[in-house]
Amino acid sequence: MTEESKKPTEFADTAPCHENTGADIRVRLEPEGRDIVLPKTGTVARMLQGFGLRPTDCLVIRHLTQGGAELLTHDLRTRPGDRLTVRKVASSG
Amino acid sequence: MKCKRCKAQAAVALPSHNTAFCPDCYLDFFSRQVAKGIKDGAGCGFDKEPLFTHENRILVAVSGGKDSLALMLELGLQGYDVTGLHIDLAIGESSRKAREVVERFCAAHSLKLRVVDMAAEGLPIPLVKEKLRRPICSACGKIKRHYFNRVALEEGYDVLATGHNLDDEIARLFSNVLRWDHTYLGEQGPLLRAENGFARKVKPLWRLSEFETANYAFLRGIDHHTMPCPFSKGASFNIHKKVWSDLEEAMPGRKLNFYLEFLEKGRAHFAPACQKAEEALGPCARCGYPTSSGVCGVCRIKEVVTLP
Repeated sequence: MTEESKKPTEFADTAPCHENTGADIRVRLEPEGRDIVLPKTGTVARMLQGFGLRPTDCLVIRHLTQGGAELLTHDLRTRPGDRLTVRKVASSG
Repeated sequence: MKCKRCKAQAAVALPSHNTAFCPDCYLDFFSRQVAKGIKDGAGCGFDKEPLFTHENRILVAVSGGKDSLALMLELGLQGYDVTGLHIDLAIGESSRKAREVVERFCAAHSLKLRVVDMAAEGLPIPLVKEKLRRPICSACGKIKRHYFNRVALEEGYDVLATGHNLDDEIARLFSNVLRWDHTYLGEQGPLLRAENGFARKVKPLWRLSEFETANYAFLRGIDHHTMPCPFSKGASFNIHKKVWSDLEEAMPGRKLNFYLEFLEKGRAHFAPACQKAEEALGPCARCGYPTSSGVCGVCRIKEVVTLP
């Protein structure tokens, strides 16, 4: 994998611009509604740092393949194929 | 990370409490914090009186955001007699969605709801913004507080509860300190007693941060409104919250400690200024609600809005 391909890719819902191998981690940022593809796994804390967020700035939600969702603490590692939502908690009026 | 209580996989880590919980233990932690906030009231000293009891009729101001919905659900689960009050601000799509969320939530949980429509009251916020030509947030807040108070008093509620959390309280305290606003500092806290035409007002989530209420809302499956107010961009309270997030990260627990210390040691020093301001209050010549200037702020806004 080249250095370039390790970088997160932003994509639109209707027009995927990153080849999905099934192992990518797809992250939806709320409330912005932006979608990001991460090509490799890591800790939740590291992922949030990449987004400029602290662990208490947001919820990290993993969508389970069998339905439902769970919360991830910052020490956990993401998994290949994860579908995540990073939901900022600050209300803005 | 394991749950501090039952050792299951943790779902919520709380650096400010140096702990972590699984979903079930977290919901129990949250309920206990709300119950403690209600029981302790202002939390210390002479002010230690419960915010309300199970005999009271409680009007809960619900915007559709996570905090107010979490508050209403938790109070309902704790057996309190709660009714929601939603102010429809008539800010286009944002207000329409917020109202939908609140109505759906109350129907799903069999909770009573009262809606006041600002368009019907002649005060749609976009029109107020256009006519006033000054920052809208303070006018919008004034209008909402007026109707919260009015509905609570006219419809016989014992107490008005809002979903203000610890981050809201800290941001407000910080703002008041930056301006050394004696009057506001003298009355800030989780409890404002009923007097001079004002309903009793309480903030039962005062011990809990935004992060904590967000986790509760998720674990309870609360579908809340997330669309930001289109008029709130650049509001100073967002800047204050960011400053405090930086401080809390470096010194976990500092927010709650600062707030508790203010209630215990700081607030009393500002009480005389607050008392002086209360003495200057009289009924508004038009609506009868308290004001320090003959005609209250909301009636003056109404006058400006109706000008051609």
